[in-house]
Order: sequence, then structure tokens, then C-alpha cells
Amino acid sequence: MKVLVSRLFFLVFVVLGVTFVTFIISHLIPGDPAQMIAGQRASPEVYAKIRAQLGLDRPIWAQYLLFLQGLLQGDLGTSIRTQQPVLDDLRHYFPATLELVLFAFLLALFVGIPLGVYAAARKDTVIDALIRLLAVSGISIPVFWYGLVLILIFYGKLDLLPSGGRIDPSISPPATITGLYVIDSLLEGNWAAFKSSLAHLVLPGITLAFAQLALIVKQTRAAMIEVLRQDYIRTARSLGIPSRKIYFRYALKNALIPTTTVVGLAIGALLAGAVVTETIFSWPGMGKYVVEAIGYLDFPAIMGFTLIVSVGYVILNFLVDWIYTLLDPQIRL
Amino acid sequence: MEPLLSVRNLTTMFTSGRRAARAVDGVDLDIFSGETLALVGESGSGKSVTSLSILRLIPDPPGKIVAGEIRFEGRDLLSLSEREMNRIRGRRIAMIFQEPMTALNPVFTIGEQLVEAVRVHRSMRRSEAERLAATWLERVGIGRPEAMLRAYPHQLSGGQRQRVMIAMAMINEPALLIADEPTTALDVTIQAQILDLMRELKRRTNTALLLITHDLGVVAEMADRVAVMYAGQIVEEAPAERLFDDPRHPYTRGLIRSMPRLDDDRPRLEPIPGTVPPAHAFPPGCRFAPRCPFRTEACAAMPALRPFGRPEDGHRVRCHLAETLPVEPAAAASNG
Repeated sequence: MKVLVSRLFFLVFVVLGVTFVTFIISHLIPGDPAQMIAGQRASPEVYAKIRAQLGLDRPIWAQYLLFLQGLLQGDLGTSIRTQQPVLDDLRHYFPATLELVLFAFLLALFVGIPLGVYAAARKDTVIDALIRLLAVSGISIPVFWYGLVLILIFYGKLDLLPSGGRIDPSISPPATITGLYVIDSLLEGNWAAFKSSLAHLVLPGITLAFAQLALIVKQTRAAMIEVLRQDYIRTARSLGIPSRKIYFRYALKNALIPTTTVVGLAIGALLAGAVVTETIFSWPGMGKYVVEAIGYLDFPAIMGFTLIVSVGYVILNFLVDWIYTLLDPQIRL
Repeated sequence: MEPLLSVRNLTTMFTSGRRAARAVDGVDLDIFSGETLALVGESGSGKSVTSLSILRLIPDPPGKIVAGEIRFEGRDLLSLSEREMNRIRGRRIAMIFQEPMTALNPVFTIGEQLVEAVRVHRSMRRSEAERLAATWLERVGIGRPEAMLRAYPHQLSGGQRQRVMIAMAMINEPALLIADEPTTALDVTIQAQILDLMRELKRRTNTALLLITHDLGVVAEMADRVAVMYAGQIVEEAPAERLFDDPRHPYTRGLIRSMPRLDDDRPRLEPIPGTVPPAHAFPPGCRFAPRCPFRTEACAAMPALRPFGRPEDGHRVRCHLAETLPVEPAAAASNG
């Protein structure tokens, strides 16, 4: 309980800090949204009116206080570009991003960890070298490059997978239950929608996951190699416990402690990475929304996005701390 | 009588880079049911590698058993598949290690580890295995065993952890227990308790014990027979009493002389000068010769391990000078 209170307190500070910094930066960028809305040839009166509407005529600290005041009432302001409340916009785009990030996360986790274990178990063999090569590629090749290459191969050449959107335009999306098409279509029993939405997830999911998968492989491999050297692994072998069980149970639970740190960071990086991936794959999520907002100098939308991501990040970190206590009996919150 | 374990010409090599070394070089050992054989030597003599080789736990790479035969209960362990070997490890041959602080998995409870040790070999319900685990914890002298099952290793003292290790090794009542320096990392008072415990469990289950140690005090207290190792080879082997009464290898004499004792009137201990050479730099001929006060020209040739005295004495020595070595007054007087 005490921990929870202190974490919430921490959250308040993070939100204050993040919003403050984002606010300053986005208002220091040269450019004037009022000018963009009014157009080049608007009269000074119209321009002044629009500035007043947007609150841009007030001093910057007053604008920030106004933003915080709205925030306390659960109001993130109105998007300059869409003319909709930012909260509604984000609510609309959030499930798509969540679906993509979750898919990429599961991919990075459930492919990355076994690959790391496997590489460590077969250390210094060809298999290990191949897995390490994969990991190095994931870390060093930029996202937009292999995103485009994947599209070129699997959509352009092979025509196996779609290259954009969440679902085939000829199929109507499932009714919103969770907002995640793959899950909603399953709940509905809509097989066609499930297949289509899953197929649409594959390329952007791999693209988004690759770099984090690589980091998880590297970390898991390093941690496993360290753990496999420990005396208690020799003890387990001396008791006749089969190798597979030693790797995936006895060693992995120890190796997951340092890996958890990387996994926590990976989720944050996936949220941030969604911005680029969604743009490449025209994925209708928050990332694409915010890229468009930036083009418009849509301050409220940018602020709203930043806020959501940073709050999500803090909550994830809290989860990571909690997972440590499950893995390591010597850690108490 | 057929020995329980019979090791012949065991040779284990370690490779690092282009350098290969025979850490264990042609070792022969026999252990009979219920007896305690002590394997003695300084660090680097190859005694731990020998014991790990028996269970085929040498990390490969860099280690490899390159020759020999390990017969146990009628089978050659070196010809078994990994799967068949896993049915022997922990079930028929179990092992206790030197470092109780690191030998238990830190993220699983004592109960989980004990239960696993049982259930990997026997189809037993979890609750049943837990009861057995508690029984064994009690047997190794751990109070409140039910509560201890839920404890993690870091909540236990070193002595308690070694007791848990012993329980884990003995829980399937193996025919052979290999104990590699089981008391070295413990306080002296705890050492005595652990040795007592091992003796008692041995009597109860008729388990044979291969006790690896550098501590001749422990040997004197526990062993029926002793094999002394130096530089990867057995240099002397004899029933314990005989070895202490009439050691015939200069190295054995050195070990005994460097042992502190209560009835000592020597001004100080006499260490053996020099150290065990590393395995890649074993000298040709007698490996102990460079450190040996008695060495002669004959020692340039490698001596064989050969019987000394009557064959039924079970005394074997690897020394050209075994017969001519003077009777040791200190050794002869000490063991009364």
C-alpha cells in the first residue's frame, strides 16, 4: 500500500515533468498553427481571432497552467487539426496502437527469449553464430529500411501479406469489444475478419518487434551463459535433471531477472517505435495520428500523445518492479 | 567380491586454445558397497576432475574424457546415452559439492528443489514427495522441516545449506555418494557435525562414499581406504590405517608431515616445497621428482603403480624407491 502511494506520487512528478518539457519544446518550434489554419491571405482580424480561440495570445506560462487545469478535469483540449477533443481522438486511435504494440511485444518476448536460451545452450556453434547475427542485424539496421524491404518482398514480390491498414477494406471490422480487431473478431466468431486482421499485423508487427527482439535475444543469451556457469546448474545436472528442463526452468528463471529490465525498456521503445512503423504501414494508430499532428503543429494532440505514452511507461515500470519480486525471492518492494 | 564402481585407465583432457592437458591421466579406482574411499591430494591434483568424470559432468568444451572405462553396477557409464546417464545421476550415484552457498538454486524454495530431485526419478505425487522431503530434512538434522520446505536458500546458514545438499543427494538412497570437499567451506564445529551426519546416513543406507578431500584429518576420521592423487595420477593407495602407519610414497609422507596435530613437538609444520605443476607442464618421468627430497637418476623414468608388500594388503605405490625409503619415525609414532 505504502509502495502504491509512493508510486502514484512519483507518477504525478513524471507527468508534470514530461508535460512541462514537451510543452516548452513544442512551443519553441518555429511555426504558427494559427497562421496555418487562417491561411496565407487571411486578414489580421481573422488571424487574431483564431489566435485568441487557440489561446495562443496569452503568455506561455498561462497557456501551460491552462493545460494543467484542463488535465485535472480530464480534458486534454481540442485538436487544432481534427477539431475533435484530443481525448476522443486518442481513444479512437489507441486500440490500433495497442494491438500492434502487444503483438510486437509478444513476438519479441516469445521468440526472443527461446532464441537467447538456445544460443546460450549451443554457445560457440553455428546455431549460436546465426542467432547472434540476427540479433546484431536487429540492433544495427534502421526500422524504416527493413520495414520497406519486408513490404517489397512479402507484398511486392510474393504478394503473400498486405502492406497497410488493419483489415481488408472489403471486410467490415468486428464490433468493438476490446478494440483489438484480432481479439474482437475471435470473440465474434468472425473467421474472415480474424484472418485478415492477423495477416495485416504480421509485417508491421515484425518490423516493430525486430529491434527489441534483438535486444532481448542478446540479453537472454548473455544472462543464460552467466547462469549456466553457476554451481547450482552443476547440482541440477548431478541430480539427473534433463538438459531441457535445466535450461528452460532452472537456468531461465535466474536469467530472466536481468532480462526483465530489458523487457521493460522494450515495451517503452515499442510504444515510441510505433510512430515510425505506423507511418510506414499506414497503420491507423496513435503514432500515425501524432505524426500528422506534428505536421500541423497541433499542440494539444502532441501533448496528449506524449502524456499517454509517458503514463503508460511509468505503469509498465511499476509492473517490471513487481515482476522482479516474482522472480527473485531476495527482492521485496 | 565385485566392486560397486570400478574405474580403469580414466583419462580426462582439457583443451585451451592449442594446448591440451591430461588433468586425469590413467586413473584406476575400485569402490565396494558400503565402504568409504578417500581421494586425497592438493588442489590441481585432479581429484575433482576424477569425481566429475565419473558422473560425466565435465563441461565439454573444454574438458573431455578421452579414454578409460567406468563400470558401475555392471554397465560402462562412458558408453551410456545422456538419457541413460540421467537415470543414474541422482538416483544411483549422487554428489555433494564443496560450496554450499552457491550449490542451491537461489530462486527456488528448498522444498521445490528437493521435490524435483525425487520426482525426476520416481513417479510420486507432489504431496508424497513433499512428505519424503520433510522426512529427509529431519534426518539431516534440520528443525521445523515443514517450514524449511518453503524457505529460500538465502534464508539458510552455510551449515544448513550443506545439510540440505546432503538430503537432496541422499533422498533417493543412491548406491554411491561422491562428496567433493563437503566440509571445506564450513566452520570447524559444523564440519564435525556434517561428517557425523554423513557417517550415520551411510550406515543407515549402506551407501558407498567417495570422499574427496585435501584434509587428512577428515580422511583419518572417515576413510576405510585412501587413494592419494598427484598431478593427475594415483601415486599411492592403501587401507587408511596402513597408509598413515607406513606411507611409502614421498608425496604421501609430505602430506602427512604437513598436517597439524595435537601431539606435535615439531617447532613448525613442514610444507612440501613447490606446487603441483599445471597439467600441460607435467614433467616427464616421475611427476613428483622435482619436489622430491629422495629423487635419484631412476626417477627420470615414469614409475608404475605397483603392489607393495603382500598383495592382500591392498597397498600400491607409484615410486621407484618405495622399498628403500627409510621408515618414517614421525609417521610411525603418530598413529597409535
